[in-house]
Amino acid sequence: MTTRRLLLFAATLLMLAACGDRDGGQMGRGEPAGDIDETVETIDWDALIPEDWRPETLFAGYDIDEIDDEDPLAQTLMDKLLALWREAPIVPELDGRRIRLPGFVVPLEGDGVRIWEFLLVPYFGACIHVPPPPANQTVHVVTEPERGYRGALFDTVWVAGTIRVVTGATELAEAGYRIDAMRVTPYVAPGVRDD
Amino acid sequence: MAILSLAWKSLLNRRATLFVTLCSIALSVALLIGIERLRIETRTSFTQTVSGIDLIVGARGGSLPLLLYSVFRIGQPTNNLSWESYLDLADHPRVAWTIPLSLGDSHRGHPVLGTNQDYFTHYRYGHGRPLAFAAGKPFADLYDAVLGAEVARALGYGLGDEIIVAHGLGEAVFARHDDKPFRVVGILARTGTPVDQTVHVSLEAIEAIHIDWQGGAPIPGLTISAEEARAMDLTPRAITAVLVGLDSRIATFRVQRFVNEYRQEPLLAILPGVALAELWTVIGVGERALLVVAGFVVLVGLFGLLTVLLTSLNERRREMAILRSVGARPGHVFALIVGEAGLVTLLGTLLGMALLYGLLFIAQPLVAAHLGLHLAIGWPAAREAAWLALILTAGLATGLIPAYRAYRTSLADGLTMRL
Repeated sequence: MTTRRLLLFAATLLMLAACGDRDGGQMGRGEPAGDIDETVETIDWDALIPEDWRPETLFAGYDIDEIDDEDPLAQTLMDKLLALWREAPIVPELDGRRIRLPGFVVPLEGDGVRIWEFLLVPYFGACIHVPPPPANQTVHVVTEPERGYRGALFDTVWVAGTIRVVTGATELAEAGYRIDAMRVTPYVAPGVRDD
Repeated sequence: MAILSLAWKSLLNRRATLFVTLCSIALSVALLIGIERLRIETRTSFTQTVSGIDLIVGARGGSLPLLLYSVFRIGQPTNNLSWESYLDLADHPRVAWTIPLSLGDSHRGHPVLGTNQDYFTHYRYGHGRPLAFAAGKPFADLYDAVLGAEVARALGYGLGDEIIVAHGLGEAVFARHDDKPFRVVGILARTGTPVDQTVHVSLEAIEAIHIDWQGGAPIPGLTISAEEARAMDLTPRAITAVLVGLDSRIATFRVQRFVNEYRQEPLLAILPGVALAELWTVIGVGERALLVVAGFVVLVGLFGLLTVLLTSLNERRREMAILRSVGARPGHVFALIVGEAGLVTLLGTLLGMALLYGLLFIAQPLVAAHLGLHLAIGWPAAREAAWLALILTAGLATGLIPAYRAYRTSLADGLTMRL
């Protein structure tokens, strides 16, 4: 962006409006659409949690309204709910689908300009007050280095690519999602075309 | 083409003034592109140093200081973490490997790092390259040391040489562990990272050289010799930081949480990528300020060009008139001046780049020796090319003003000149 601002400044000073179209700022944008086509389906973070995974079923047989907060039963139920949440089940049917998902960038690998491996999370910077997002709400995004995202920590982006269900290397490891991203672009609110 | 060659000859005729203008443009271009280059190269160099590390764990403090002292040996560790905490962390089911680091001592200004064999197995730099040995092998004996490439080069050490570790940091140190000398058994291949600056020994060695320093300094009469130390329990009691690799990157947050909520001791786990991104945000402000200043310097250079061109118009009234009288149209005169401005800017830019590359070649070994950072010398990046294109355009644009004046000047003006 600095390039652009400097450029505009220089252009004004030199009373030269004509070179304004040589825009260095555009370099910060994502790669051209390329192989992204109509088959890409925009999903949200809820789609990563199985539909039949209903914590409500846990409460079947209990009348929640009747249970007081001080009741030890309430605590037991809460603990069960949290344990269930930590299991973080995944949706195996998503494997191989071409999807587009918005989120925040937590960089893992890059060269200081591009980021080509990052974790995509649905909310930002909340690692201190509450537990981090469970495994099914953390997506490991990998792109080719040349297609890496040019941006900063906690930018909001759209990630488009093929989603993979990754099963852990060990038995203890929970499964999770990886997106082999074709394209990472700055986030634009739904309804507004970003390309 | 004819116009270009005319512009060239006309330039040669006024070479003294134009040479100075050319130099000012060259210097400003070298400054601007140099700052841009350094900015990118430092970032690349920093990111090349941490590759494939999922978490860095150390005593609780700031995430930036932890990143800087553990990996880049910049600044001082705030505190150590206990060996028990390290074992707990290494036992975590999601942790695939760990590299313990123990810092604080030095050898003639080069940091001494206590670690274990995992360092040579798991440490990666430059996006996934493992460490390689230029000579020798990893340390096996208690008093073995492995040198980084730059340490060996700068101090002229070879395999089998004896070195003495100094207590604390700094080049002139008066507290030395001279009772327990180390033998060089390996020299690492150059990496272009702070590894080149480092002397590596085992964690047990760090423990051994400090075994009679319990009072903060060796107590006379209570010295333990190198051989006596071998027989003692040399399990480290504390280390400075741990580099952690996980079995899956999706588990990153979970293990980070485990460390940050560790009850026995206040610890901090950071994602190197996040800490680096924070670093860029901090130094980004300074970088932008430098770029703005450099941009202004280029602007000043171009204004110099404008001044020279405008003043020269007066002394070239006859030249223009003669050109016009032999058939040059106002458009030709216009092109002549713009071409001249473009040519000076182009030459200035080329000279500036030549100057920059010359300086880079001189600076590269110095930066590597003093900062352990590797400045890659490559072709201009896309951003630099954009800057150069911008400068050239601005140079041409500068020519428009005097060109327009020359264009408007009538044929008669130069011919009826009062001398």
